[in-house]
Amino acid sequence: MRRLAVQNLTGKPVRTAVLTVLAALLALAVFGGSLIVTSLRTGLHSLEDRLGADIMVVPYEATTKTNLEAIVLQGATGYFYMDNARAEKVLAREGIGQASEQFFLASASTGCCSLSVQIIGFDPQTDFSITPWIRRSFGGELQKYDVVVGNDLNAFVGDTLQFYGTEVHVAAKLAKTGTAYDTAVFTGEDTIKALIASSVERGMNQFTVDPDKVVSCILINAADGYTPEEVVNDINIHVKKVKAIQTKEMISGISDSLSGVRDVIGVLMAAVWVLGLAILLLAFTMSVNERRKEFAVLRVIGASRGMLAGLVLREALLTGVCGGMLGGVIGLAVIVPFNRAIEEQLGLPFLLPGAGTVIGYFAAAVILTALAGAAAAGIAALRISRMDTGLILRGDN
Amino acid sequence: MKQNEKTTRILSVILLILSAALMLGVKLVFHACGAKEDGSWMTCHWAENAVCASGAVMTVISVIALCLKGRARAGAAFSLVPAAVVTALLPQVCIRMCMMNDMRCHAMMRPAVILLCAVIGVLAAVTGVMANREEG
Amino acid sequence: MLEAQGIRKEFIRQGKGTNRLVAVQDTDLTLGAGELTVLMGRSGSGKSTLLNMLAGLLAPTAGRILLDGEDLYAMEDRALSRLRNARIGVIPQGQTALHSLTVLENVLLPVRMYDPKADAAPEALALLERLGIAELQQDKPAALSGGELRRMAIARAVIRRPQIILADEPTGDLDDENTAIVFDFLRESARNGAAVLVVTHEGDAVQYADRIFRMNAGVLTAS
Repeated sequence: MRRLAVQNLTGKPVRTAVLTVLAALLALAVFGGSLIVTSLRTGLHSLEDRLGADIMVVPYEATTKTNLEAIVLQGATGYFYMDNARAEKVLAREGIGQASEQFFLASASTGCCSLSVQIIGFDPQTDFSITPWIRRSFGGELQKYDVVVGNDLNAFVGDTLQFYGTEVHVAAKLAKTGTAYDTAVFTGEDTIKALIASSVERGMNQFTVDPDKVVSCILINAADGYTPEEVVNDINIHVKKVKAIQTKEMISGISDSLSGVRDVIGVLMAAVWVLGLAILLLAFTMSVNERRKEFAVLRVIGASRGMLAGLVLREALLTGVCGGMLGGVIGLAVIVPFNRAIEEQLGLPFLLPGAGTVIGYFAAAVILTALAGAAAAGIAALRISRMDTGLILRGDN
Repeated sequence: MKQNEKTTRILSVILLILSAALMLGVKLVFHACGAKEDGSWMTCHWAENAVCASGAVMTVISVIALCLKGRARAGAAFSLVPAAVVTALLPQVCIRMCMMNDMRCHAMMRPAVILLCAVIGVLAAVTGVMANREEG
Repeated sequence: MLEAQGIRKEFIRQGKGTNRLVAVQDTDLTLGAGELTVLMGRSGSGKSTLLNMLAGLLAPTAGRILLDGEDLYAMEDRALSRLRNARIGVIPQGQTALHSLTVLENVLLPVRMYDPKADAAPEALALLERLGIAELQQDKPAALSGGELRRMAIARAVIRRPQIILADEPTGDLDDENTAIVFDFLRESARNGAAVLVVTHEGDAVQYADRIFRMNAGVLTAS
């Protein structure tokens, strides 16, 4: 009886192929949909981690001309500076817990294959947002002219890069975050000051600044007893020509789009499933009706009602498992290699979960599809197990 | 054995379609980054050309496999396997591509080329083994 | 051996009113080992209904069917199915091949159904040989003629050497040569100890019969 199910399926290759493809579609929908939604959620968490501070303070023009959000969220390049004196005023306000200064620079898009790259310098003494991340892939200390590159940069440990004629050395490559930081270069305060100096010397910086007297951005965590909102308001009211931004608000736009995408994917998945289940239900019912006589013959030679139902369910389960595997493999073959293209299309942080999670989703999709197949065949199985063999044989002629 | 010949013939047609898809697709669909504003090309463009040329060679081999039978077809099919492996390695490994991995050459061209080459390689190996069992 | 005690079958007709059709009137019938019983009658006279009831495939409205004293319709479906598999061989009307299996696999199915490892191929081949379709063993049923399919169904019905063989029009639409092959075979099965019941309207059947019954409008009479 076990082989009979397989033989019934291989005996009708076209019908079986159509049903398998349909099952593959169901699995693809649930696997692909949930993998994309999870990757977006992982990407958002990763972005929250990477921003790593409650508040960012930038010169006022960074909210108008060169947009901070474009740099942090969309991977655009840009830079802006404010005087140390202004930074001191900010740091003198009440309610400031941790604070660290950052320095921005964008490389010129010269050379054969380089687009402009965002360079972010941090102060190793005070930094609390970038160092923990670097620690995950690099244990040593950053020397002068050492840089750490984001995961999506086509540069490797030991490579030498040139920015404004100054050679720097790639000391480490960061783990993937699925955010705009994946295409940035990070370095210590002394290195970036040297790079800013060479850009100014060569007249390639749009500002004429003394790198020792400016900062680009201050990251702040609110002190105990203060909310980030209070600190932001305090700075914006009392310090001129700067803008304090709550990172949570910056991200809120992204989490809104994320829930929008999730809703769309949810509706699509539901539509595919409703339609697919209806077709499977119809197909299994028709296939069983078509073979009423064969089932009657099985009864005649001694198959019990349970065995007939088992045969129908086994055919459906086999179809579901094969189709589910096929759909899962197609999903993997599309989403994993093309995850960067998907990220580009969606314009949202996108980070694939670990291999274990992906395998778990794969298995869940296959099991769910097999169960759906069995459920769709359930009615047919029930009907065939209740049929009156005598009447079918008698009604034949 | 007749059944087997029919199967390997169908597989050869599929190989031909996939090789042609690689040759044309890398230029038309999943092409690398475009020219820069000053009109110069980035290195990924040369990787694109190399894949296209390699795809053309694979297309010719597929045609040969389709025209032949038995062991000869197996030989042609087997020769597609290393060709597919090398083609998959052309972008980035043999010819280093653009600076950022979210650029088109990394996000579209390379995965598409690797995927197509993987499918071609596996199918070619299957075709070779099956055709080798044919008589003659 | 197989004993029907006062069995009766009514069908409720679809349509206006509660119109009951009595397909088989109260009937007593005993099939003994080694006997070939022929049941004749026009189509629609209730012959097939009686046969299906005897086979354990159609519950009678009233009465009992006993196999060695055990009431078939008092059994669980699972036990009854198993019993039918082992002890009752049914040759149904019409074409009854399983199309996804080869001829040999069709014949072996009753053996493998409850014992997938059993190897009854030599017996099956001997049967196919005896019935003259051995060379078709690897073909699919679609390639066979009506007479060949019928002979395959007979081989399938007797592969487990059932004590009871119930044949419903086994020679309908067969030519004379095939008809003779089938009746010879059934006669031989009876000689080997089976209780055989053949439902037919073929006149030739009479010469093979130990006992002959006629059925008319649900009433069974010995002749």
